[in-house]
Amino acid sequence: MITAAMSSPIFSDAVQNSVFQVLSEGSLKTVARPLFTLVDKNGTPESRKYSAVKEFVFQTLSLLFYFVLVRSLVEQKGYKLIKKVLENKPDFKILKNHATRDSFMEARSLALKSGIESEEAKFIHPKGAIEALNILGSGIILTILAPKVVMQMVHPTMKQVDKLFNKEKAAKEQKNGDVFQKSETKS
Amino acid sequence: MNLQKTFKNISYKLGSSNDSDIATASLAAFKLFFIPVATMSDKKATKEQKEYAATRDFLTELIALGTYVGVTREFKRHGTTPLCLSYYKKKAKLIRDGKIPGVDPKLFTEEDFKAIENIDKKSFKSVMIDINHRSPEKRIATAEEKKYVDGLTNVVKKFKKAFPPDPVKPEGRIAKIKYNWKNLFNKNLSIQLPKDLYKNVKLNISQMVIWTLAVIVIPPMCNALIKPAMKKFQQMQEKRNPKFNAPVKLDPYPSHNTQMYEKNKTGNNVFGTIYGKTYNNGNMRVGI
Repeated sequence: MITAAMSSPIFSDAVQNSVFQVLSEGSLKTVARPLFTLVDKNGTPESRKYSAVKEFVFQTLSLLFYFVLVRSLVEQKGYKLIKKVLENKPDFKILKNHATRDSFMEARSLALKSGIESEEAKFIHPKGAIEALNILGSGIILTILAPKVVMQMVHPTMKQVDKLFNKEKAAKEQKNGDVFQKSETKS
Repeated sequence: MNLQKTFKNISYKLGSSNDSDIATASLAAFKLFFIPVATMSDKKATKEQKEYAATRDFLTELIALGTYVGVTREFKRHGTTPLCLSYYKKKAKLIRDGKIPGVDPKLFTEEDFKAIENIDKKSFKSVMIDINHRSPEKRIATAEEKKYVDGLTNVVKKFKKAFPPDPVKPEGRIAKIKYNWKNLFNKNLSIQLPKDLYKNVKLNISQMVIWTLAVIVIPPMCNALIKPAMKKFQQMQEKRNPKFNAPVKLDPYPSHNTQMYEKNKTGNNVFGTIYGKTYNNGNMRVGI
């Protein structure tokens, strides 16, 4: 089973897809991190609640930012920038043949499937430059811009969470009170 | 010149590898610094909340950075080749037993089977590492090892020819997802060439380890380490900004020292406190 899972070409195709990568990891973190923060016994309940809500909001917003800003802005505009700056350099000449990122990526995957090493080599440096710019762009958007928005959203979200839990608590207390009253009237 | 060389090295490293650990670790490095800073700048949170959350952010990203790079690399280094060899052994057994529909075991000789069942681990590993990791100038595999892996690749190609073509991926997003789910662990899919297999296994290990770390390892580790980490940060803070201790105020009337009363307190009764020694001159107690 482990060998089948680890050698699955379908799974590795999925893993190479950045949307799958980000979505899977992001959703796991969105659930796991706040849960572990809430069960931690070291902080005060208020601190843990603040940290868990912040983590949840941050992970959710990061996913949103990734699809809205990174995928559409950084990846597409970044490719054009790299093409403009590097296409005349010796290792990056393949960029001249591809106007868009999609066409470049398609040509690269065909070259990888062909198995010809010289063909694959043409794509290595441009792909690396694209990846480097993606990492830089994602880093700036997800770690500098996103936290600023998160900080604006944490306290309203905490209030909503409080309201929700207080409602439940109040309803429970009322229910307990009703039961007590009934038992008293019976007796 | 140096900057150009560095850029070339980075682009080579990132371009020749599809692993997710480099991107994930780089993001963790960004987060390690910027997220705690953002948390500490929250004006609406209390000091306690900010300290706890920022310490947790810092610890999480620090552990993530170390484990994403270190643990993932170790798993890939020691796990990829054994899994590849196990894959070929299992495939050979399935073919030998006639369990793969459309593949006739009589087409292959005993030597063919032995070639993929007993692969030389060292030669396989060094050639695969060369192909998948190193730049052309740094390759380590000997000519003999290369020849051995070429021979192995030819045998695998012979097996591959006997396999019926894999089912065609359908068009449309939902149909594709259904197809992928159905064939995710399908043992009857065509046998993979060594180079493709090694790449796929390496990628899969990388992703599986990152998921495991993100869910099961990093948050509990953070829970275990947060208390000592917070203590350490507090100590560092105190060292940097030592607390101002106001000088002890001298009591102008030493005989009025209340501490002395407390020291000499021997008991209470309904009327008040009983003092064993009653030399409190100038401070007559009422009631006893």
